[in-house]
Amino acid sequence: MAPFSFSPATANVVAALIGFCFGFVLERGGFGNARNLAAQFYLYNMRVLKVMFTAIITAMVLICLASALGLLDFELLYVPPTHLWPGILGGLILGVGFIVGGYCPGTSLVSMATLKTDGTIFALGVVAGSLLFGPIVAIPAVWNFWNNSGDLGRLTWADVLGIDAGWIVLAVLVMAFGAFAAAEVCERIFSRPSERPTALAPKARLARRAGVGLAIGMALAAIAAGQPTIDRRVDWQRESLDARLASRQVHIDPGELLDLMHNNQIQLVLVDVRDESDFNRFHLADARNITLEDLAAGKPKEIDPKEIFVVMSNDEARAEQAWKRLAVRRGANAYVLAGGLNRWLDVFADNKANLPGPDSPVAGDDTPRHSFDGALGARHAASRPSPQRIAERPFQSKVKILTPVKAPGGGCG
Amino acid sequence: MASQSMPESRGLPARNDPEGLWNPYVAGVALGLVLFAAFFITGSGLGGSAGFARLAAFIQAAVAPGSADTSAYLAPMAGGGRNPLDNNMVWMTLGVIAGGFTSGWLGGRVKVETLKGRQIDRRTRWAMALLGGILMGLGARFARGCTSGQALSGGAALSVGSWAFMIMVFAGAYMLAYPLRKLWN
Repeated sequence: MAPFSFSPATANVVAALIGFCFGFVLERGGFGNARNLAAQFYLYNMRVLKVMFTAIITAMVLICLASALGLLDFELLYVPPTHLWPGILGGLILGVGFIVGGYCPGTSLVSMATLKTDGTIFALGVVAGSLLFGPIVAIPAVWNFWNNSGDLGRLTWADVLGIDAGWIVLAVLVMAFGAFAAAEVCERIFSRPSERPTALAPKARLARRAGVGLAIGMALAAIAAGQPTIDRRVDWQRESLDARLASRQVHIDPGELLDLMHNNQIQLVLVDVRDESDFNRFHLADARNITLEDLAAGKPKEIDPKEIFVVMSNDEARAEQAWKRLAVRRGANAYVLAGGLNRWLDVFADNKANLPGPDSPVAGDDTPRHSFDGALGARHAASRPSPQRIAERPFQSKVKILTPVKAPGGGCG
Repeated sequence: MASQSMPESRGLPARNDPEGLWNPYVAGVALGLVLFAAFFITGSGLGGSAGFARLAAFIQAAVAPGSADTSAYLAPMAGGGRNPLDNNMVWMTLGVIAGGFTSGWLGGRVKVETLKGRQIDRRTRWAMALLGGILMGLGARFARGCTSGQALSGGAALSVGSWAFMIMVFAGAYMLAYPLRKLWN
């Protein structure tokens, strides 16, 4: 399933090829000429609006449909994170730069490539502006504004409105077609008589109808199929998920988990997927009781790539089902407690020696094998064994501690 | 002046501009397909300003070695001996230049000229292009992307921030279009 990952060298070649097509189409669309671009703002030549919005809706419909059909994993796409206020300020500055200079960064490259002096000077200006941003953003107040003001992370309209993305796509299409109709009227009103657009040829009229119909049809198809639920994504990725489980690379030893529990450098999230009654009788310190249904419904809502999830049940079967539902989430770093809480209690409550390591599966039926005097919750000694006991269970570390490098704002790089 | 009739054509191209360009809707669909291909193949959209930001970081690091290590903004690009130009967005930028040149060359539009309105001279146009470029460079860094990375790519992915950004770009440009009409018309 797309998108694909490439080696750095291949990624560069792919980026260059995509860039080539991008530059070619921009130039063909007239975007290498500041006069075509500036005309947008005097209302008698709405080329910029038409090209931009047609491009946005074309890509939007295709992304939405491909995601609904399971061809493209939307969770893996880079959606520019929402930094609301810096985005609004930046947009305003950019808009002013647009009408003053006549280009935007991408179009100035195309203008420069076709040897336009103004485009080349504009491009040099962009380099200067980018240089200037360094010292400006170094001012603490600006840095704080740039990073923290309106920082809403990866946020789409589907997230905000809580409805299927297909409906939003349909609404945007209707808006865009309305905008195109308004643009045509605008051009007619603000044109000189001699430049007034001529009536559309029958062929062009047919093409326009076909395009509108196709876009609406694709949006309706995307709505009918629906954006994938977590369980559908698990289904699509079943093979690779099962292979990861079978290789036991995500099963961690009780010893490793205890080590993580005493590591204050990481964000550990313990997910206990047993029944509430089992959970009340005994659970690990700070464990959260989340059911399989909750996980399927998208809980926890936000997943930080810095968080380390360890899923546990009495044995392993239910934890593995839960793990799959976490593993398909974007940025999830999830593991299964090998042997479940039954083995955990064998080690840290019953002090049994010679227990199997994390690479041997257990065949248990996921029922508790230990009994407690009432509902102890996390008040049991084995809920948080002391760090001295880490040494009792030598383990080979499997957990990957990620320190995600934040993309240094920009383009979509 | 008052006796003169309104000129038949203006400084800027009319809608039916005979330059051998594609119909805007056709160009839009083509651009949308390129954008979709970028998302489908690589997982991220298009970028126009990232190459500029990296070139600026490269210049900064070359002029003042070590300065990148102490700048929280530059460090991810140029800190610790990283080469800011060793990034696929730089390759995309080079691709854009090559693609733009190829299309312009095939269409006979590659020639040294300054594109401007009729009422200003070339020097004014150059100064305005420089000023606009500086504003654009600043704005694109504030917004973490430009019309390509934010408006087009984020717009197609339905990012809330990208749509807010896009509206502000049009707002900023329309706000000053009338006061600055002498630049273009």
